[in-house]
Amino acid sequence: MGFAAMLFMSGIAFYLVMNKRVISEWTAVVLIGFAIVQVMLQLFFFMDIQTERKGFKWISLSGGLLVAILAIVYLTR
Amino acid sequence: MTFTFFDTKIKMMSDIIVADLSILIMGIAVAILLTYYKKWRSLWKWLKSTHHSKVGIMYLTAGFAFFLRGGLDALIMRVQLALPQNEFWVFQGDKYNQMMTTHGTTMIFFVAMPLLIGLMNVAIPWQIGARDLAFPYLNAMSFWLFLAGGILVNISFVLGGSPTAGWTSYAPLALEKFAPGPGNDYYTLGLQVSGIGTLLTAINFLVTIINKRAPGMTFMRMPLFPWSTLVTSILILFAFPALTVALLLLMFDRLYGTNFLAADAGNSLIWQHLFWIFGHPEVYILVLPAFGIFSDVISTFSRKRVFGYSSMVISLMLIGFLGFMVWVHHMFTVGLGPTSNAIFAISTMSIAVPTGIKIFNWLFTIRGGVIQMRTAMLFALGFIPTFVIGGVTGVMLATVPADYQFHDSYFVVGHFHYVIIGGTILGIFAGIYYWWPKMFGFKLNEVLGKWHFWTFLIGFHITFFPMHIMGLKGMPRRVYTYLPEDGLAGLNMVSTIGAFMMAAGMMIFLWNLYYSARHSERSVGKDPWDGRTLEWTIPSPPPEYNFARIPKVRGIDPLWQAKTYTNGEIEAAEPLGEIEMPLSTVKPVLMSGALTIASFGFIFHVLVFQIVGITGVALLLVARSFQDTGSQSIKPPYDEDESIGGEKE
Amino acid sequence: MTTSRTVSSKQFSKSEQADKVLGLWFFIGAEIVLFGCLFGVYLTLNGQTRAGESPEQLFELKEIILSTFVLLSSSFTCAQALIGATQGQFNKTISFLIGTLLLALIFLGLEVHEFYSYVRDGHTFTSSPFMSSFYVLVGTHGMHVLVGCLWMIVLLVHLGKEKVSSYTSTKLEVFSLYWHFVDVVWVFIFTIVYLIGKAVVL
Repeated sequence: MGFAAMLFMSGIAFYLVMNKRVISEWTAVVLIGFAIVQVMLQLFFFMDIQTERKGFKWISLSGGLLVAILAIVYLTR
Repeated sequence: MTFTFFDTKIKMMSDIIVADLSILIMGIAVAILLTYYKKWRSLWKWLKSTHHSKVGIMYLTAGFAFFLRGGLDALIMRVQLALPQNEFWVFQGDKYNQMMTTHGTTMIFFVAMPLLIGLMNVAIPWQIGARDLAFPYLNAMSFWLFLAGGILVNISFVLGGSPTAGWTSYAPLALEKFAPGPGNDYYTLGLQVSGIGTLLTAINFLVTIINKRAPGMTFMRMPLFPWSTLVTSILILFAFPALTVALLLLMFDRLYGTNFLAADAGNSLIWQHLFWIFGHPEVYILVLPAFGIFSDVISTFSRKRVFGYSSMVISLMLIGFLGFMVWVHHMFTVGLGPTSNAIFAISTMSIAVPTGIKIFNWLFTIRGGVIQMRTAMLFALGFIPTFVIGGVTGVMLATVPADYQFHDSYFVVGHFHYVIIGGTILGIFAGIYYWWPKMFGFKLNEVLGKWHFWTFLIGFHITFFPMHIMGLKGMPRRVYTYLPEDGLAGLNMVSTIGAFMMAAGMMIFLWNLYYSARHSERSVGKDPWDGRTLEWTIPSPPPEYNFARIPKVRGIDPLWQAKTYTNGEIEAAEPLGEIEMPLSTVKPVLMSGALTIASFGFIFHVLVFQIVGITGVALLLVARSFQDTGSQSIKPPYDEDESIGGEKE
Repeated sequence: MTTSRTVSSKQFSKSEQADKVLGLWFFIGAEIVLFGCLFGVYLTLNGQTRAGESPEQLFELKEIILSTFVLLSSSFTCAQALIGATQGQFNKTISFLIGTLLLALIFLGLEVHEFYSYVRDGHTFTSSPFMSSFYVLVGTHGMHVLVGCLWMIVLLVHLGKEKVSSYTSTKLEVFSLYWHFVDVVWVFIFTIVYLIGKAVVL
């Protein structure tokens, strides 16, 4: 199920870019949104994040993301 | 005299000859001593060991050896700076840069961190009631990777020159164009190798503290040293990958001619951001474990429960979190704009709040306590005012307009030595004096300990306090000389005298180790300090399995609770039975050897070494994958009388 | 006196399994920072190109669609292999794991082909900051896939020797976490590097 959804979403993403070539900023945001949803599907369906010690799993992911986003924001400005 | 080492010319100047000779003499001396006392076999056992306290003691030993090296560098620098336009031996210009870079790099990465990690290794399983870390093999590997990195950075002096770009190794100064030769390649590869080790340690401690606590020891019943270790490990986990990337980019730029960090192509700011995204959490990685040690020491020697336990925990977490939000304060003068600078100034100053909470909590723990002036307690008491001075200068540095004056001056040097020596190093000494009887079964001499404390602390203030004034008078960091008319001569001389006083303190400490090992009373019992936490319920030194029966914990300070209510008896959580302990293995040593070979391959551009080293690592990983089970089953002796554990003292 | 003897059994206890899984989750946290920094470096430097070397001129989306499909599928087969292991079905486990390995190898082949075609056209590692950061970002991900392939080969040998047991299923679970994470990174790489790089954002 999750797998099918993932394929579907990346399919749409590729279709958008292949056919339009010129996309608006919003489309770019939608593309990243698609990526995030796909990642969530991975986390919940394949990686069983909601099983034991889930608090620490989320801390690990969100802490890593926080530092990563800070790094990206400050490197690219 | 020069000779060629893999196409790199190495000039044999007098200092290098002396260094070579001293390495040779020390090597021969160690070999003779080992043979004389017939210790080769037990050395081999130690090298193969994966046991947490043995690895911890190896960390402490290696860290201390690097401490002596880093201290020697410091003395050389202080002698060179003692007089205006001094010309001490060869240590001017590039050689001075080598000394200063090695001093900084060694002290941060190969002294402060391993000594703290060593104490964590030794004490954490005891304090949380565990038999070993979650991954003993990984732990041994972390140690050997750290040692490989340390050796790489330290051997550079005699094999092609040390790194010269400062411990921050800013690009483009650290690029091939401005820093030719293998020196800075040693820096990238040495730190990379030891950084991997540190990252693995962090994962290890996280899993250990989360999964291996004794039954009943909830998070809010843990002593504060495990708490600070937990927060520190999270900091390491998220900070070190940034360093990994930065070092990778620097390595590609230097070795393969890419353009990530150059000023004309690429972007030099990448290095600064990545380095400080790692570098500022690193500061808290250094100081938080020391906070944990002080909390335990102060509470033990005041015979009081630590004041405001939960606020201590919360401020640890706040410091940890804010530690990631402040890195730009190292880059105020870069010109990122007023908004950035203001935000980071505010976040930096706000760290003073949780730190202040901790300082007040320590003071309130002492207040009304039954204070015993043991050496460990003295170090803790010396820490509080010293660290407050460091903290105050820190807030001064966080003020952006003022920072434009302070930046890259000796004021900064004074500031960070006040926090790192005043926090971390004093904490390490407190921890060593505190846990020494548990590690080895005898106390360190108190009289010598007090001499050590006072010479070190007074010497420290004499060395570093004048640096603030030098900085305000305009002396920049990392210069090897100054002019007589600069008005800095007296202050520098005072500073040099202080440095030698600190060195004298270190010699007293070394003498104390030897003297206590020879003359100290042998049977200190389980609980020499009238302690409060679980490590004082087991024999000193503890058996391999630590706890014959894992204790059941019912509150904060379980031993103190037991002393108060149950005559010192702690309930066991399991019946006495066979205990499975991990096996010794030599693979971690081989793995770090293989990585060292690969590193030399990269530094000297020898493809064969690179391939051999990396294949070796891969093969060892595969071999480990097939030999990762199996354990040593130990049956502890049964003893009816014991409240907990199976062994009589 | 204490007595000790060496025991060896190819089993992992529940607590060992929990330790290993949690350890890998923390490793993933560290890897997020690693890749985050690499993305940051890429996004900083992707404007510094030579003529004829910009993202929209370089990338061939058709190949990327194929490799994305292959890698996403491998994530799926890997999950199936783990399900097989938890149900104790040896054949299902081993066949899906071999499938994962093959898909991973195809992905690697496609990536090597892509890199080769760039290098052949003169866009090498050192030709511009953009190319350097591209190779480091995508190449680091490729290295992770390569390590995953070697890991799978070792796992297959383990499975062949020990069949499905607590020992092999723990190893498989840890591997599958790693593999899904590698897949997650690819989702961001194809979105940020390839898709948004290829399209001209207004």
